[in-house]
Amino acid sequence: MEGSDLKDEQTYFLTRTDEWIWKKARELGISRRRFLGLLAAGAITAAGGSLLQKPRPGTAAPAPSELVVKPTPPDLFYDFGSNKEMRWEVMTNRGYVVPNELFFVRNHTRTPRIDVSTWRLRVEGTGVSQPLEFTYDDILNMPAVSVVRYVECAGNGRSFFERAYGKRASGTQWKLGAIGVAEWTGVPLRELLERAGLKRTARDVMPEGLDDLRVRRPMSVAKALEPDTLVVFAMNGQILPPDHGFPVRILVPGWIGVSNIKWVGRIEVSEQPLYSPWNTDSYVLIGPDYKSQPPAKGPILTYQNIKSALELPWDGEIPAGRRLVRGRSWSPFGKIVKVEVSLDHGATWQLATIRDPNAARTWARWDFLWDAKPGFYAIRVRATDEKGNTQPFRVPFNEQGYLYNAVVGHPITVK
Amino acid sequence: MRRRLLYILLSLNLLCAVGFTSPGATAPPGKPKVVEVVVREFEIVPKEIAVKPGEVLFVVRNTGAIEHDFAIEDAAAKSVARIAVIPPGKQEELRVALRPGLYTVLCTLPGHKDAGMKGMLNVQDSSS
Ligand SMILES: [Cu+2]
Repeated sequence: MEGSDLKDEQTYFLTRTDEWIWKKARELGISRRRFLGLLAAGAITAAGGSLLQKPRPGTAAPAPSELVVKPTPPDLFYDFGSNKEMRWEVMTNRGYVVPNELFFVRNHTRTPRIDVSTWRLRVEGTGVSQPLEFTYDDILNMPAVSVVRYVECAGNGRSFFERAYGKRASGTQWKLGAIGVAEWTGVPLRELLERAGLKRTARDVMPEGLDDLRVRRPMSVAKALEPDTLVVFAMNGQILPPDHGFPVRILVPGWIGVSNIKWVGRIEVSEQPLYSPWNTDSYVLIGPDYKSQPPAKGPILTYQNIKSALELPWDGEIPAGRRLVRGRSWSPFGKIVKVEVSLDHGATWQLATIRDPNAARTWARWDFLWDAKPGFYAIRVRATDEKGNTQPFRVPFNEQGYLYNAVVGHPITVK
Repeated sequence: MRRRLLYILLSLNLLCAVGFTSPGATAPPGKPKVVEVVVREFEIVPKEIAVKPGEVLFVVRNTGAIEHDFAIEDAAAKSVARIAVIPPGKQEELRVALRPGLYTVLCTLPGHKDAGMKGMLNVQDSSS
């Protein structure tokens, strides 16, 4: 097994990128440098593509009503077809976690309906000595743990690129509601891997979904063995709902949303580095400020970043008067230590009061008192974490619209 | 064998370099050629498009149930023009001036291209 620094998403992908370059150059019988030159010239994209497995052919387009199982009425969610964004005002005066019926849905296609009597979870590949198949009961009968963690879509905040640059980034035009915190209950992935005879030479682990696109994304063995990397079967004390991955999903805390594969049917464990379109073509940063990073089209997205949201309707109305305004901030790097608020376009800032619990890999709630006078406001919030990361005022444009975490003016009218 | 493949790739790349450059603003004035395209899970119709060089207006309708986008890439997989998002049931337009060459049209959403959402766009000089 490799070093534990591969628990770090960025280190992991940089290491694998480098290995891919050496391997391809060797296969073609040329130097690494020459190979990189050819890549830059576009001569090798076809060779890169052949690395990737072909997904099974697409099925017929489902009716929109079939895309998601749970009700997603417009007063609770913004509708983007198979994707549903939580409206932040629904969290006003709610507890710490997002209830299952309010949790955002990010589906690459539609929610598959899975019959647990025939469902199996296969753990296989060159990285295990004894490939195993688990039934749903097998999973439920294994020792389980519960953790509170956030899961956030890598494209959360994407619509703000258009506001900032007048140019739309590709993908679902989320505001800030593609995030949720839940209590996840499941079996440590480590337990399954060990039962299947994880080899010392194993390097990568790739869970694969049973959805139409077979969404899959690799991680290092080191990350797979972390105590809070789970095969989740329950969410907030209830059986994992279909839209959130029933019968099981993977929880990969701190890594970007797409890593938390839903409806898992297979986990490949390999002695060789693994790749998928979800870390080469997509979830990469492409734009004037980013360089290509073969085999990916740009720097691979690793961490999310620090963000904040207010529990207020977007561009809504509130009555005048003294009120407690609430919000939440989160960072993948550590707990939140400071939240500043500005009601005058950033001229002056006041501190919000951060409430407990406040821990890493989840969010912190905060509030401030506002004597709201009639008028139009753009409330700005800027959070800082214990590692010193703070929300910037500008984020460079990237075509797929990831990592928009700049301070955003939240429009609100006081009547 | 591998070396040979490499040479083929290389020579293709050289041909492309000679055959076209990035699209310019040199399209003749007047009405653009209109090309209607349908995107859905998981295909782009038609799969092959042929147009003459110059201004082209792509009218792209999403008849699927989920979001898609529409992008044109040159032979080096560099983005030439794109529609960032087409909601299900909606139609968007893309006006672009194209130079002769072979392009790919595709949906850039994760996994969609590999599932079949790609096609060929051949821009051929009328004089040849
Ligand atoms: Cu698509």
